[in-house]
Amino acid sequence: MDLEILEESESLTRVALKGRLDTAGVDRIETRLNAVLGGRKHALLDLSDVTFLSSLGIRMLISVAKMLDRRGQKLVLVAPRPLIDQALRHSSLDEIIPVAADVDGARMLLNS
Amino acid sequence: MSGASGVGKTVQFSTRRSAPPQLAHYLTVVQGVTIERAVPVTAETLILGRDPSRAFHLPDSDVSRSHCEVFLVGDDVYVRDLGSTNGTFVDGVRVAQATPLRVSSRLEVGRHTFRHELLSPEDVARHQQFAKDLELARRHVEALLPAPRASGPVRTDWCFVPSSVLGGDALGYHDLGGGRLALYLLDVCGHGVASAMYSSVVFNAVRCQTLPDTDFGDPAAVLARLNDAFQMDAHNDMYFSIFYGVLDPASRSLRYSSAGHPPAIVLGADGRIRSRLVRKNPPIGAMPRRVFGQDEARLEPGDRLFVFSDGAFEIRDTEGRERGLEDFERELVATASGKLPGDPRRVYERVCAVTGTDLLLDDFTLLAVELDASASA
Repeated sequence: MDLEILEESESLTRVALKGRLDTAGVDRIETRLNAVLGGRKHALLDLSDVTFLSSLGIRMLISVAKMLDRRGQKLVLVAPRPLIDQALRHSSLDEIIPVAADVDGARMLLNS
Repeated sequence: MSGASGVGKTVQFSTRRSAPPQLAHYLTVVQGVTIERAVPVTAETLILGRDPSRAFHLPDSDVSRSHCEVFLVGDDVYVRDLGSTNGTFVDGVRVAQATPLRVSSRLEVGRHTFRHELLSPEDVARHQQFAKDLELARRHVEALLPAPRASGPVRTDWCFVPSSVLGGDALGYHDLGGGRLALYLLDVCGHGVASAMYSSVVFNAVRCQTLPDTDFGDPAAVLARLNDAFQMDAHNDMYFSIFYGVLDPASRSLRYSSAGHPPAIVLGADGRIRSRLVRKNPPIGAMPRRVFGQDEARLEPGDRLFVFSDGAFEIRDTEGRERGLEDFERELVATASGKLPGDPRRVYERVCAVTGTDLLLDDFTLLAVELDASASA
């Protein structure tokens, strides 16, 4: 599990997660992710290199969304693979956190 | 250091990492299917692998049959990879040749993580006591599950195999009066002790119908009340998914709702999937909300309803490929042609066979329900 900052502007942070978001993966990146998204900015989380999403991964995403929401900021998930997209739909996480097919779509969601 | 310096306070520091006589080298399980287990590292080489005959058997599809060996040279522990597919890692670094595994170092093999620890006999006894406590807790959880119903207007069967001694899943059903049956399956995020404790609390609230001002014949109301009672912020940031249905044999109708839960499946008498039952609501606890939706389905004679958690299908096969719901549906349909259509235990065995292991890394929970053919409509 790895984390890479793809973009950092005044209004948003775009971060890519890579690998399996299972128990070990969450252990490895959760603190860093919270630190990286700690500012008063929107967050785009690129999931295109995430190969597995466990319930603890979902819990982490919900926590991040809540943390941002408390600061009046939004979280958008970007470009999940088909199986990750399926996991997001089965858990109805897409009802709480918007999911976009690509970065442009995500920016549009932020501005809507 | 002796007290001969004449200074009243003497504090002894030791930078030596060798084991004093009473301490022995152990691999303790930090993460994996067997929690809090301690395995001694002795002069005899310890082989870790997926092969059940290995000295330390790891039922993990990411682990090779003979993955790596751990051995003692003098008072130092070494690890050597045995040509594994996915590699052996010491503190995050992939190793091939014999590599020292220092005390407190982490050894990663597939989806298992171990730590090298020096344990005293008392420590080992504590580990054993903890394992015993977990076993008692597991029995307590299993005792809460209802017996399968082999006869009567509604027949039920289930298979419940927690991943790591204690799981976050629970399933149950109980009579609501008027012949109706409430049936439910819930999945608390994660697994292990914390998830299992939380799962028991939620499960009992549903099973014993102790939620305030709740009509337990109304699935949407049950979910709304659960969501009021179990918000993440107040429960250690944990959430759960649930399927809750009310089955009325007289009308063959199933009212149901789900929250963050994968679809339930209705298999027809012809062994084909007739419908997938899902009502999209956010997982319980994820956000405050008062209104939950629900739907209704009809069970035809010969129909069989399957409710399960994501652990049944979010698996990795022997080729390392992630599987999804479609693959699980295929396994389910394949068992339908047999004598016992969709026998939960057989479905479990088939899923295990796909992963090439005899124990899954997530909880496997599958409930099968069918109406007696003579039930009126």
